[in-house]
Amino acid sequence: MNGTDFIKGIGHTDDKYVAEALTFDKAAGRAVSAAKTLKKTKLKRVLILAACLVVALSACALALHTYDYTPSTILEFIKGNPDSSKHTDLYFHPVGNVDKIGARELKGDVKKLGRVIKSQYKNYPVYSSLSPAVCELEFDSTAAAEKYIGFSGLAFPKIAAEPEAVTVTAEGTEAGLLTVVRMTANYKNTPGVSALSTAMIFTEHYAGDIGVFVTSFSGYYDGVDFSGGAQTVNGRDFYVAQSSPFDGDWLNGIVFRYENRVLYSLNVRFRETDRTAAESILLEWMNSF
Amino acid sequence: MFWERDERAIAETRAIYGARLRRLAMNLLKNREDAEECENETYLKAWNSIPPARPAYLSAYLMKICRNIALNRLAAANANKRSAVVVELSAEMEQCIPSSYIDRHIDDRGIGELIDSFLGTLTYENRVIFVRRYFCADAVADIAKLLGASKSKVKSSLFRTRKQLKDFLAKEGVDL
Repeated sequence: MNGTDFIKGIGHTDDKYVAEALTFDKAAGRAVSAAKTLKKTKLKRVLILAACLVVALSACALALHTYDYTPSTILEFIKGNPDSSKHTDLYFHPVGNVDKIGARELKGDVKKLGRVIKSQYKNYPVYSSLSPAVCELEFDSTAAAEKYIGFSGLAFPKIAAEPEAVTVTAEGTEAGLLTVVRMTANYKNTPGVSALSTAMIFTEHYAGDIGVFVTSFSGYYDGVDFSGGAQTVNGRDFYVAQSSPFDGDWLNGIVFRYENRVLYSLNVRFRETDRTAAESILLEWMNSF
Repeated sequence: MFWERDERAIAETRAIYGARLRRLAMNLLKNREDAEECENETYLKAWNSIPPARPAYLSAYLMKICRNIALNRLAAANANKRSAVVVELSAEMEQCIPSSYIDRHIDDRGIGELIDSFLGTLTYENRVIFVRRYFCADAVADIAKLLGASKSKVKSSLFRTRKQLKDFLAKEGVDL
């Protein structure tokens, strides 16, 4: 046995140790969220921008001003994007009229990520990130993630299911000013149904258009259509859209709400046979506001 | 999505894990084109192996596939001339092998099991440093940056861990 045998042999080590080493920075992120020192943990988790988009991809982040949105415009966009059958699978639809928050309103440790992003710009690790502007952390619960963000207007929708993964993603400028903070929770507890709940907050430093990311299913499946409209639940307005079946009997349900300067969305992907379970999650999510 | 044979699986996997896989392949192959080919081959192998495989840690599963492909490529391309990185890592690992092991043959899986047992005895940080160095083939400087520590701290951790591994193996060797 020699050193080379060892190098090959370590390739058979338990996946859990490999995964642990790969997510070291995420673990450090948890330590920060637990109010331990940033210096000590030096978390420098870079999330590739594309990954963020893909996470948000199945879902949509829709900018709607309270009681002041135009669902028909959005629906027309989803249905009628002339390029949706072409090459790309992600489209941005500006909606406007969304209030940004002051960066100082972020009271949690998330504000420290500005420094991390600034440092990422300086030491851009080409092979571990597609964008130094993005930083993502994982949390054990939605409560921990909310605390980490520390924005008083944020009330992440609570549903009975345990999230499989909870993340906070911050985007910032080269100067370290946070522009967008996004919180997501992934649910796959119900067989056949996967759900992604998202909350987005834009700060005063965000200079781009605010709007919706919409997945084009037609890049993969032809003839997918959306239908939907405004819906009021418990006196609160939501916008609901549902796809026609794609890839056999798969369906996509999307709900949006804007409240207290936070954009919330829920994307549920399910099969026709699981429609009842999916609708139950959608309703539970809406009732949580 | 792999399990559901959803073709978006590859695109989404690339978006999430692509950079990490390319980095691993680059660490070993030191050639961007080869690294990209290695990455693409990884997706193909993952597509072909899931199902029936249902990995608990997709990132680790993909990294193992990618690492294996890269090492096989090196073996094929450099039959007479080993990669500098592998030579460097192998030389470091030689220091961990007790003399009683030199003439002994243990297959890769057996070595993996021994290393698993050993990793379980390490502290979290030392384990991460060890796996990053010898599994991911990360440079000491990169590990230091990841940890927010100095290079000397990482080197010293690796040195101590290698010594511990040697002791561990010598002790385990009695039962082999």
